[in-house]
Amino acid sequence: MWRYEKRLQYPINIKKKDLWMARTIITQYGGPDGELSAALRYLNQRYSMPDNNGKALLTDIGTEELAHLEMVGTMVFQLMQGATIEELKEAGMDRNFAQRGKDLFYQDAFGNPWTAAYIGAVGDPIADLSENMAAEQKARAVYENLIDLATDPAVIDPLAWLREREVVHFEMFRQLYDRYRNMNLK
Amino acid sequence: MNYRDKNFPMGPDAKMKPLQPGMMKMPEMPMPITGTLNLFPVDEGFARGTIFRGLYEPYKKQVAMKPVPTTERERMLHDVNKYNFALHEIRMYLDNFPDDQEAISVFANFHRNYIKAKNDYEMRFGALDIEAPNLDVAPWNWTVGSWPWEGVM
Repeated sequence: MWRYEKRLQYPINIKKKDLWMARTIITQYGGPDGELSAALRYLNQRYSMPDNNGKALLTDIGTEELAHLEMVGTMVFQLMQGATIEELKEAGMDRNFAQRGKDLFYQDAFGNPWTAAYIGAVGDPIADLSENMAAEQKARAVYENLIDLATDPAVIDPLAWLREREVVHFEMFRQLYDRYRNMNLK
Repeated sequence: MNYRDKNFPMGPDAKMKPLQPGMMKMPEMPMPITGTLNLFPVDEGFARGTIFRGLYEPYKKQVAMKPVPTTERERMLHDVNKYNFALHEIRMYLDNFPDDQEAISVFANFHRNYIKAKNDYEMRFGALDIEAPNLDVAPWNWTVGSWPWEGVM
């Protein structure tokens, strides 16, 4: 089961509205390499991990990704806060507004809805962990793209923090992968 | 990457392994004490996004701003955040290296600090979860105060 804690994993305090930035950051909410994909991927792969250490690591990282999902959602929410109809139109968000008001949605930067097709699960720990390592590197690259696009330090700081988490998770997965490779699993 | 020193890139039980082409570069760091987990101080690790010195690889625009709490509420929540983050990092490490007694001691120490910081915060500023010590009074404490995405740290 899960228990909610009423706090962000890392604080976010964005005061400057920036709808264009919100439109790009949304991909880490519901895009292929975003936090929803990461959380659901790891939490789904846990069942076929061959030992308790693997089950623990996928549970713990998958759980952290849910906290990251909340952080990314918070960034998008704060970047859009107080936006007028006119500002939404100028930022090309009139279609979002027509369909969803100011709700967030699990979509990528192009507006494609999140799909379970983003997630691999082949019942093979080596294959699954390889996918996870690639996923962490792709997410790191996307965070770097977003950092390049951002100008507000209040946006860059949490993006850089989330990027560093991808570096750490990659390494944790790599250590598990290396150990399993030496175990003759089949 | 390393948790301890350059001779033990894979953790406490790993054999010495030279850097291969294509492996990520080893960041500059002061020579750590062998046999001791090479950790940032809790505040610094929280600001950087990892408590493990060997895993910190900043990007070009990464500034690692230390969150500067401006109110008592922010200061107390910062303590909860940083100790919980440190706990989580050590927990993931122990998933891979469960026999590391030193890491288990570090975990226990962070855990004591976390529980204290959490209870102190909750008594003054409201419940963080269902185990909060003050969920026995009206108004219902869970609904007191702002929500995390509303920008009060």
